[in-house]
Amino acid sequence: MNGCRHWMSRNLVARRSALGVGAALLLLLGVWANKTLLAPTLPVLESGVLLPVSRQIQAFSLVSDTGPFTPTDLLGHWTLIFAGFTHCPEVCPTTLAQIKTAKAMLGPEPVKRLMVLFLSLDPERDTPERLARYTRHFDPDFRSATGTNAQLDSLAANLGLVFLKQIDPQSGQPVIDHSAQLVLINPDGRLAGYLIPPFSPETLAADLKSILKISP
Amino acid sequence: MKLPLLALALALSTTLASPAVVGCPGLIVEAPKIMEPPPEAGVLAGYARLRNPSDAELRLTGADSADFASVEFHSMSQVDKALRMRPEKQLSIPAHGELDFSPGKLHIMLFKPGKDFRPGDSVKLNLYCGRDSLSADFKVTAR
Repeated sequence: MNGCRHWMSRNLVARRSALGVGAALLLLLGVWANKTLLAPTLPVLESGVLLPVSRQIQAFSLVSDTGPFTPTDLLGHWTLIFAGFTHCPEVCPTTLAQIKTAKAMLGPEPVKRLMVLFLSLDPERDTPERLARYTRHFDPDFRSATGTNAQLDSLAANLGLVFLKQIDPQSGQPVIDHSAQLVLINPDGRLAGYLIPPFSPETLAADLKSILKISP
Repeated sequence: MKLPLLALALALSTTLASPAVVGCPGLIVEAPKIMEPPPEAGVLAGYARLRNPSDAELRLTGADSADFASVEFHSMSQVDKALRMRPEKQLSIPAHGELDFSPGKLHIMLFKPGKDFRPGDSVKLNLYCGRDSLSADFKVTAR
């Protein structure tokens, strides 16, 4: 009798454990389904792509003219990141000017949900203050930041950007080959997609309007 | 006696075999402009369309300006997801052809401006074709 009771007790514990594990699995399945299968359909962009599932960005610590710039600064709004440097004669000022024009087409409410960040890949020449003066020439609300070369290497790789620093043999000046795409970070501070050149202010504005309508 | 004649023959044959390269005076510079620089910009970009109306190839070998420390020609290409700028020491404009300095392709890089430039300012650039040169006024243009 005692053996039988012991067997029944063990069997009950096993069944309760199995039920617990099953419930946990169902909960996880429900969360996954909610985030993927039931997630709102992402818009199709004219000049870019949104990732089906956003990606976590590794911790980073940059510096801006107002102090540290960290992942916390990416929360609560969409962020458009463009990486370049102030000694870039063409692509960088052209792209920042296009973003400025596109931003002006968004309207006052959508604009509040967007931050534009110019990330300098040239910390040797682009101090945070110099960088801010350059960036705010395009739009006083544009933010800027830079970091050590190690930090920039790590962040660029994490964001899918590439850059290469070399010395121009004729002028002796550093030149930086770099990605020209814009990185989209969602209000959760996660990598959400890319806008890919060539750009026009009209297509940028259309895509940004679509992006800013996405529910958090 | 035979050697000078041989040298002359060789020189003539070389001249006749390859088309002559004219100097800059025949060159036409259309819509020359320099884009308005942001503050702290250490390098500016210039654009223009160069037309060669002559019957011979024209070779652009350099440029300079009293308003900049140095001036170079640069091309742009996409390599491995990155935009790459490279200096071009010489640029050829074929007979009756054009060379287009325009965004995303070729541009004139102007290093270390000697002063701040604003839209409406004019910058004199000297374009060299070997020993010949041509000056053109590039207007600073708002973006």
